[in-house]
Amino acid sequence: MNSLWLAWLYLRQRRVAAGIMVAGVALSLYLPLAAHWAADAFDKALGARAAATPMIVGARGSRFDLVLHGLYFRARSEGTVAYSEFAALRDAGHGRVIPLHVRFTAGGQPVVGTSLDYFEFRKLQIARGESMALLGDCVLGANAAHNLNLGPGGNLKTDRKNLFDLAGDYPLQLNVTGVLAATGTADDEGVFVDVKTAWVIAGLGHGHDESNATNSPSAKLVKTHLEITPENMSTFHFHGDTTALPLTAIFVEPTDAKETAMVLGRYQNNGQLQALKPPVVVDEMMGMVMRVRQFLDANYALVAGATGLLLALIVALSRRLRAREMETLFLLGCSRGTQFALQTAELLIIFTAAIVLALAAAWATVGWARDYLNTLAG
Amino acid sequence: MRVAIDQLEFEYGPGRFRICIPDLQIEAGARVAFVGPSGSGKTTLLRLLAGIVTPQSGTVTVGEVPVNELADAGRRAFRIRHIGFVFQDFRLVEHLDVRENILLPYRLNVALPVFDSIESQVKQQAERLDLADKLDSPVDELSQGEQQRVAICRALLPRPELLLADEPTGNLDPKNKDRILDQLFQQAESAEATLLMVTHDHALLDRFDRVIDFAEFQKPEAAHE
Repeated sequence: MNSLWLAWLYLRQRRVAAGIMVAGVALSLYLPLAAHWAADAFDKALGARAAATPMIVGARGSRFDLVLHGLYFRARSEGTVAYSEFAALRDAGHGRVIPLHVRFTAGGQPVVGTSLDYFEFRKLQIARGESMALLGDCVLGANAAHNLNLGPGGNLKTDRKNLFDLAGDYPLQLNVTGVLAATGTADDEGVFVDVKTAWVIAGLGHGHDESNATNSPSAKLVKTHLEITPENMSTFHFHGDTTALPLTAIFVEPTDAKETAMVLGRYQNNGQLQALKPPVVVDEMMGMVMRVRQFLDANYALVAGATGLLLALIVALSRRLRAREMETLFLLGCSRGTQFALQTAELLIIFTAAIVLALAAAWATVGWARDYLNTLAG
Repeated sequence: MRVAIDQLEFEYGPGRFRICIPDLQIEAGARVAFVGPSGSGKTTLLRLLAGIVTPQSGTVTVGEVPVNELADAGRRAFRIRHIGFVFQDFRLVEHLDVRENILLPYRLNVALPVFDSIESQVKQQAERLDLADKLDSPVDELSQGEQQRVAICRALLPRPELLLADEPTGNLDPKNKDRILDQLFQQAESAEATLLMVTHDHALLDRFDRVIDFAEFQKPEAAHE
């Protein structure tokens, strides 16, 4: 105890130097700790959401892209799935089938065009207000409501994709009917609308006064409504073949293994579409993350080695600087063993403080990162 | 505690400093001054008596114990229990305050257990040496006289039977010199300790029971210390 006490007095007197050593050691411990914990948290977050999503159907292309699009509403530039495919899957009776259309944002939050089945599929609860019922209604995820400072009764406009495209999609005002309870997932970030509303946002459907349309020499000159109200709702309509309207993905929840196999078989030789099991794709993705982690671990080992060498140098230099002090201790009857114990106690205090600091910092970082990793939206 | 030296020969290395003392007897409780030119072996003798170094031949007996025949650990334990050492350059530890410097031998040595009354003894000793209000001060904020008093306080706290002082007034101004010497004598007397002090100040010699001139121990080949 005396060694620890004397070591503490020494370090307290040289608190700046001791603080720098603690910070240096803590940093070299923090980096691998935080990276490992964050990777584990990422693995868990991604794995849990993937496990709750048995199957996703979408346009052929990057499998990772399609899965991340379905799980985290990340924008996807590749092709679409026709609504008729959704209808065919639904009618085939493979299980629950849910449409997904994510192309737009509102206030920076992803606009998720889907059906009410999605809420049941993800076990989402309305915390305030009520579910969307009409064209133009939306339900906000908990974080989206917080970020946009909106609640039931409020409204928001969708973001324009290209400000300079005069003929492109115009912002549509959405009416907030409810806010979802927080889930700690990507659903917290979403602005949920019916898939038909998503099509209206995309400019595939619109509403306008009939007289205006009749008199106009060009469809582009028709003044369309930028807000869906009870008064103008009946004027909204879709042109052309509605079964060809696009979805960006389709969730399928097969009733059993046989239905799963049938859905997979359905798209096995399809040149346009693919059916994926998100848990399998996520496992593959995490395998890549783990390989990166191994590379980082090797780097961290080098950093730790360099830090260890630096510490050894500091200790050696410190022994030279403190030679007179050590001689004084010897003259006062201090054994070599006690001198060693004193210096060991100093290192023990420094390492203990550094470990506590590194653990606290890594815990705080991963706490923050876990929220981010659970959403991965944007 | 009596001191006896018999046929002592010591050298730091071939051709380097060398001291030979055929016979030296010092009675318990004596106040003895060691004088002599620099390099004559005064400090070395104090180190031999304290068991910090050992002679190549001869015997150093302190009390009834032949110190030079003890093993390292035994010499250290003997020094801790029976000998107080006041160094010319104080030998205080900068990062400790006055209290911890005085207590340092107790912190470092299990042979000197920190008992309950040690704190009150530190206070009493500090009061005797006019350090009571400085106990919590860093030592580097003290004057040289105060620092030497801290060193004396530290040496006296374990109540040594033999007090070795290596020019304790060498770095002090005349006023502080007298004061420190008074206190050293008082404390040694109250502890009934034998006091052996190295000094170059011949004005102080009247205060000692005996003066030993180291010129008589020098051999022709002796080098400087």
